[in-house]
Amino acid sequence: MDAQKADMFLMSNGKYFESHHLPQIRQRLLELDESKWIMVQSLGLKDPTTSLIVSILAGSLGIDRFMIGDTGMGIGKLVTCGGFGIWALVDLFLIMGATREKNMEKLQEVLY
Amino acid sequence: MTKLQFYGILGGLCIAAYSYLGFSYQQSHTAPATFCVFKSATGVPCPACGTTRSVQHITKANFGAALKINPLGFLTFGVLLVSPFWLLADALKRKDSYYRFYQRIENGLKRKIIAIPITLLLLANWCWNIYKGL
Repeated sequence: MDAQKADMFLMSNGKYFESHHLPQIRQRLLELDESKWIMVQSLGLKDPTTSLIVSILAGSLGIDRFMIGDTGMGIGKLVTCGGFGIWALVDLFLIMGATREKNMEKLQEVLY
Repeated sequence: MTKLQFYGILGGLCIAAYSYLGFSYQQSHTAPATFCVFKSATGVPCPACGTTRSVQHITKANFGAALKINPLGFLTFGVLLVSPFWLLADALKRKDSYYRFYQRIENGLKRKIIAIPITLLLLANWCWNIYKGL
């Protein structure tokens, strides 16, 4: 894949990933076959800011975890009233990072 | 979720749950204090409201009363009963059997045929909680 496309992807989707992952993503995109470009573009990446808003509003019901695909943790939060309130509070600080990690996992499924 | 995060969260939850259960036994003669953010903010009970009271009834073998308050108490009681031993066994044997079991359950929950009935059951239980005014 040419460098222009890889840079364009990073410019428009950089906020969905941890900053330390970006050089690795760029490298993998450059090595990626052109036929997979459409798959990379059609990935349903989750916005970390949306996750944070959902976590603030409905974190004690585990909806933030369900949203990013952590179904088990979502059920755990739901049946424990947000982990006795403590987990819901801690997740306000963790959920953005968890969303970025989940996005990276999704991208890796296409890249590797 | 990494293995370390899973064991950390589960260990922390077990400690918090047993501490809260002990605290709630001591406070049983007074009005129960709620830690539920959702109920405090909206005045409407959340799907898990009543779980502590349900677990208390289960420990006294009042299974009918536990079921009436919140059936999720049985699930919580089961998890609380098994988790400390399983966590300890995994730590001593340096294995990750609980983590692999959790991943199998999570993958199962992602299948629509399982996810939809569970969601409907949880919603029905929530409606029942609101109806009971827990």
